[in-house]
Amino acid sequence: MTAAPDDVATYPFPLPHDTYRVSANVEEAGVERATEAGSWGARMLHAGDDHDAVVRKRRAILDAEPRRFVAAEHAREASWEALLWLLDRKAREQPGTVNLERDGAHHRWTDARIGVEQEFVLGDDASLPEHPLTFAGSQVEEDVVVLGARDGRLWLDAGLVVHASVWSIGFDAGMSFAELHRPVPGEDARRVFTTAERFLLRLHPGEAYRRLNWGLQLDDRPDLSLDTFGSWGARRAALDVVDPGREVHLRTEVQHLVKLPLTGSVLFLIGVRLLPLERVALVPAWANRLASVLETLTPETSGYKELDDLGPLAAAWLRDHAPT
Amino acid sequence: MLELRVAAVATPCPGVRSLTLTGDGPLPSYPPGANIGLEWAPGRMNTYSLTPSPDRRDLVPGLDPEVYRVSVALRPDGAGGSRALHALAPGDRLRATTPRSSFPPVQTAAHHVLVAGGIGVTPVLAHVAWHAFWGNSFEVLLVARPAVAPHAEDLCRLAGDRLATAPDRTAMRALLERALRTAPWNSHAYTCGPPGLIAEVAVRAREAHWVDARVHAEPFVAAAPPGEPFTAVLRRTGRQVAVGAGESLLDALERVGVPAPRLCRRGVCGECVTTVAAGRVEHRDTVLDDDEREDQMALCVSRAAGESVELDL
Repeated sequence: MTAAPDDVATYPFPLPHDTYRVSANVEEAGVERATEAGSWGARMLHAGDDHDAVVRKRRAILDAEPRRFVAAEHAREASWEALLWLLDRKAREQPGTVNLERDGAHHRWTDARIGVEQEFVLGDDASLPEHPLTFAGSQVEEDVVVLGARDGRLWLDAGLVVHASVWSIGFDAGMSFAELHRPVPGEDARRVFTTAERFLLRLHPGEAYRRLNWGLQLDDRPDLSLDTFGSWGARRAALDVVDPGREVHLRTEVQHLVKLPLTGSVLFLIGVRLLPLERVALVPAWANRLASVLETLTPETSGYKELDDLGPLAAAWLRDHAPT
Repeated sequence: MLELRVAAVATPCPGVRSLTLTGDGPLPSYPPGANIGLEWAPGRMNTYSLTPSPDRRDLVPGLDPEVYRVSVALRPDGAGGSRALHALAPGDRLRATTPRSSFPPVQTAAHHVLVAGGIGVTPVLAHVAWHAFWGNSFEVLLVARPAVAPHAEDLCRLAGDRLATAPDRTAMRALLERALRTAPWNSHAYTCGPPGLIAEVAVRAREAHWVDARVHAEPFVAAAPPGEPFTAVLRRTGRQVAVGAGESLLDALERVGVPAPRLCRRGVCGECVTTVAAGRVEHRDTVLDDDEREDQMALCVSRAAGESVELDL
């Protein structure tokens, strides 16, 4: 196969098998993974050609709806640590254009690609123009959630989430890990999340893992938060699709889980990558696996992912258009 | 594993040796109350609490440290770890685990009551440095006889007038009474010291209407209490290993050359957790939950509840 276009070549295609079931599917972060079209995963923070535009759009959503950010008062230390982790990570992954200089507690952050320069003193709230997690979440393409570890459980302590897939950070704030995952159907899934929480609680300081989640959606808007359900809910139900190849998108979420070494909180990053079916079909193996998965989903999973109608539609299109 | 070098040694008080350890460049960050395992003989690890430098109060404690500092109390009748570490000199090399969190502060606490006795001062020192940096509400109660209390000066510099010292357990009881009965709602208490001190804090806290979930402790006495002898059956080979009354299952396996992953040797880290194929278990760890205890055990502290236990080894 000739070299795939960049969005396809770096796409984290989420389905390794012809069938799918809910699983913890975690693996070590930062490890490059080959796909049929290229590879992904060497970096934890995505920065494609449209990086600046994505960061700006994210900020615009937050400015229009400040409720996309939540932070408990007790999450202050973890929020500062999340800020430091994210800036340090981005500077390491994009040397030359992104830089974090440190002199004791004093920091100077410069990101030429998104045009940001900011000095701050770690731990000094007055040295930043906004909450440390708001600032951190405005420097990256990923949604950012801080889960605090207490009483042998994880709790949603803080987050800046503008690209939620049918949930709402404002609604979920303060929930336990089990409560957050209650909508996932089935006893098996329940066990998966119990195991996953235990796994996260036991991570050693600084360890980072990742997992992929996926779904289908009718357009290319990453913001499917329940906060704005009124603006997209009706269209989703009507399933008013003219050209599935262009309109229906595979939504892959690259989720990173980092045990912040100082506070022990878990930093949860969600990066959204959308790829229209016509570009999925550029890679025959992907088209075939996605079609096969959609054709064999259990009713529970299909219902949870809202694929009862969209799934068969997409599978039929893929079967018709994928080169075999 | 980390490859460390001894940069400096000091004797903060009789019977205690402080080691300053460096690596190649900044070392992994660590939370307050974290420990590292130091390999004092091939395959033999002891864990020690990391204490931040009291000199750099402008830096976040534990972040990208240039050095690790530990303090080792000499146990003349121990297995040999503290003696080996006391014999180290600047320039010596040793291997260490990356930091493990075992005794972290609770982020939601309105106020932190820190209680230390003996060498138990080391994780408390790390907590105090953390709270001092972030401006958190805390107080420290220290059982210390003059001239034999390690790090009392460091603690005094960091905690200032939030440190109260008792020369003995009776005086400590009075300090505890006052602290536990005047602390604001949703305070948390943390004790590191000998078992007697930990038990004392637990009893006084309960009397003062504290729920157990707000009372935390890190024992530094490593040896598990002895139990009845039993036989471990290794399912994969059919081999039988006799475990004596005075040794742990993990020690017995090591004695006969059966490798098992392990680290803390006191039932907190979970490294040595192994699947149990048959037999009832007396669980003494603090890492497994009830579900996990159905078919797993921590080899370092837990024992057979009957004459034998069969392991998936």
